This record gives sequence, structure tokens and C-alpha cells, in this order.
Amino acid sequence: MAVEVSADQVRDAVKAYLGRFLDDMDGMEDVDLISGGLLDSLVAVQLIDFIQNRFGVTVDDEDLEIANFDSVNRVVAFVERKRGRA
Amino acid sequence: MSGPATGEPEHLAAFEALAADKLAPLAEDWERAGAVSREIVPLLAGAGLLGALVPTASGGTGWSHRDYGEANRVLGALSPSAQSLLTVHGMVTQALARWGSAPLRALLPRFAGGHAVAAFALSEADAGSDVRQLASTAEQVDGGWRLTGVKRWISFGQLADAFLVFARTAAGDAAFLVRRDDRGVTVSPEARTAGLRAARLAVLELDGCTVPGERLVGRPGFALTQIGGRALTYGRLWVAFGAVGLAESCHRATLERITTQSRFGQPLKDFQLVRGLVSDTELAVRSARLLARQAATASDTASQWLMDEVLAAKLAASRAATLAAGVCAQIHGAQGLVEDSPVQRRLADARVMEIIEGNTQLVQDLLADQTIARWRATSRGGVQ
Repeated sequence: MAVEVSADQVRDAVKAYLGRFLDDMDGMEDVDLISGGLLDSLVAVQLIDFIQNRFGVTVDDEDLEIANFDSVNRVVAFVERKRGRA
Repeated sequence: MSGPATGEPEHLAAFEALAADKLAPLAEDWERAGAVSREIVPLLAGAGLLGALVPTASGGTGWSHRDYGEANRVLGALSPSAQSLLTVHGMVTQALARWGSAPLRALLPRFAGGHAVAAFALSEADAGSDVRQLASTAEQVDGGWRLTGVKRWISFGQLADAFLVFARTAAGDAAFLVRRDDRGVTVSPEARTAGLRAARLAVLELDGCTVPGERLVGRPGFALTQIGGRALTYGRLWVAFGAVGLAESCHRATLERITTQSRFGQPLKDFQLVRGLVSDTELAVRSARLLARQAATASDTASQWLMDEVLAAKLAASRAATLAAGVCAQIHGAQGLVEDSPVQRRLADARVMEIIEGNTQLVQDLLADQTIARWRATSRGGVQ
């Protein structure tokens, strides 16, 4: 379970992960995926599990805001924040 | 397949003994009467099952999902209605253990000890598979929340002491624990269903029911996803095990009949067309059992493919139940047509397995997403 070293690597990993469920992730960094209805709720659950397992951060109850997970860049910012780098 | 000789844990062996000795005769009565009685609660609690999905540190018994699944299979073979109590009580206690406020988590020993029964109140008249259509509302008021709405088809709602209720708030969808004795709560029986007819289905009416702030479970905005979505995933796993148990009981009844009855001067078991039915059912039951166990292990090991495994198990098990119940009815001929006979009850119960916790078509749709995702993950050699 490698811990990513840079925001770019986090972004690439999140895009690769979401690319399992969405056809094309190019240019999708700021698109609202959950509130925009592109990811169904089960995938949103899986995304949160992925974030915890892949980046070694804990998603606490108070972190459970759609705003933290709605787009690739929001996830990247969240991971950075949780790792104390932003 | 069962018994301590297989090296299974002691608590599971003890439950299997309880099921054979005490629950089996009671289940007959419940099924005949069309109502599982409250006497089941202390029996399941005594076996450790009502706290099985609650960690021991929180007052539960902390069973593995594999063991809890097996208990659901065993009970599902006796009474799918009774098994559905494990589904809903398990879903709610697990959600409370994970997301509940400290005062709510303090209630967990009561749920584990069988002093209170928990039920899952998500569905509404116009919001079943499509939960986004939820019409129930919760309005923030001084010191708490005021809930209004009508929840339908709540398994064991007639016996439940507390309900995990999903409702809309100004800040998004949210979940609340509502007590049966809260002011503004009315619980009434649903019209009795053909399948799962003993599962004590209820309507929950919330008429401006006001609950303190600590009853909010998790946070508004993510409840349908994080609490409901996860709970339903586990619910599907328990339904899968229950459906395997139902399929096994149908299959056993088929085998009993074909080995003891003869027609045209030969045992039923020797007719080629009957042998085809037996083999196909055996294959369906056996593969569903393996998939259910694999999905439970995926949960115990926090596999990234948990959703995929659970959906596959639910689809296979509910279909195995449909097949096995249909074959059982066919093999029983005119005897199997008798109203209220075990054969007819199993047929009706199997139908329910393809409806609850996601109907077959919804599960197919979700499983296709997972199948494609898994294929992409491996074929691209990408993220692991």
C-alpha cells in the first residue's frame, strides 16, 4: 500500500481509480461527479474506501461532506489536507 | 457440511444446535401462524446473534461476517421470515456501531442483548429501488429534529423498538434513530404479503415526531450513500445467505420426495427429466453457497471488490432459491399446490428474495458496473 508522494500522483491515482467506473476521465478534474449524478452511491462508497486504503488517510465522520469527494480535485485537496500538506 | 467436526467456531456450532432443537419446531408454528413471535428475540440474543455485527468493545459479540452469514443460511432454511430479522437488526446495529453518536452507541448492548429490536426504515410508497425519491423530511428545530413521513414494508417493524429512518433535510439526506415510544410515532401492520409472510412487516408513520439532536446518525448530506448504501450492501449479503438456506431446504425436500416416491413402476429419482432438474438445482445451490461465502470473506478481509462479490452472491442466491423452490413445487405435483403448504410458502418466499434489498434487475445493473470496473482494473494493469 504505497503512500503517494505528490498531489499529482494522488490526482493520477484517483483518476485511474474512477476510470474503472467512468468512460473517460480526461479533463474531468473539476466535474462534480456525485452531485452531478455521474457516480452512483455504491461507487461513492467505494471511492471513500479507496481513498482510505490507498492514501493511508482516515475519513472521519466530520469529513463526510459531499464537498470533500465530489470531484477529482476536491479529493486531491482532501487527501493533501488530511496528510497535513495543504 | 455442518457440525463441529468441520472445525467451525463454537458459537456457530452452538447456534446450529439451537436451530435444530428449538428454532425448527418454533419456525413451523411461526410460518403456519404467519407471524414470527417475540420469543425468537431472546433465543437469537442468547446465541450471540443480535450483537454479532457489533464489536465486543461496544457491547456486541463481534462475529466474523462469514460466521454471521452461515447463521443466516441456517435460519433461512427454517424460516426466511425469521432470517429477515437478522438482516434488518444486523444492518441497523452495524450502522449504529459505525456512525452513531455516543448516546446511540451506548444503546448497543441493549440491542445485542435482545432488550430492543432494530428495524430499517428506508422504503416509502414511491421510493424503493430509487431512494432519491424519498419524501420523508426532517426539519431542524430547537435541540433536535422534527420528522414527518410514512415508511413502508419495514421488516419486523411490528416488533421493533427502534427504527433507522432516512429523511431529507435542508442540508441533504440524513438518518435518524427513532424510538417506537417517541411522540408522533404510529406503527401499524402492513397487509400480509404472500412471501415472507411471517416477517411482521409494518408501516411507520411519523407525524411531526421530534427527536433530540443525538439521534442524528452520521451527517446530513451523505446518509443515503454512506449509511444506507453500506447497510444495503451488508443487507444483500445476509439476504444472499438466507436465500441459500431457503434454496437448500427446497432442494432437500425435492431429494426426499424423489427418493421415496415411485411412478410408472420406478422411483422418481430414476426419471431422466427429474435427474436433470436435480443436477441443475444442485449446481445453482452449490455455486450460490460458494459465492455467498466468498462475499463474506471479501467483507472480513476488507476486499476492494466487496460490492462486486456481494452483488454476485445476491443475484446467484436469489435465483437459486427461485429455481429450487420451483423444482420442489413441480416435483410435489398436486400436493405442492395446497395453499399454505410448506412447498407454496417456499415458492412465495423465493419470490421475495428477488425483490428485497435490490430487485434482480437493479442488482444486474449494479453488478454490470462492477464487472466492467473489475475488467478495466485488471486489463489496464492500473490501480490495485
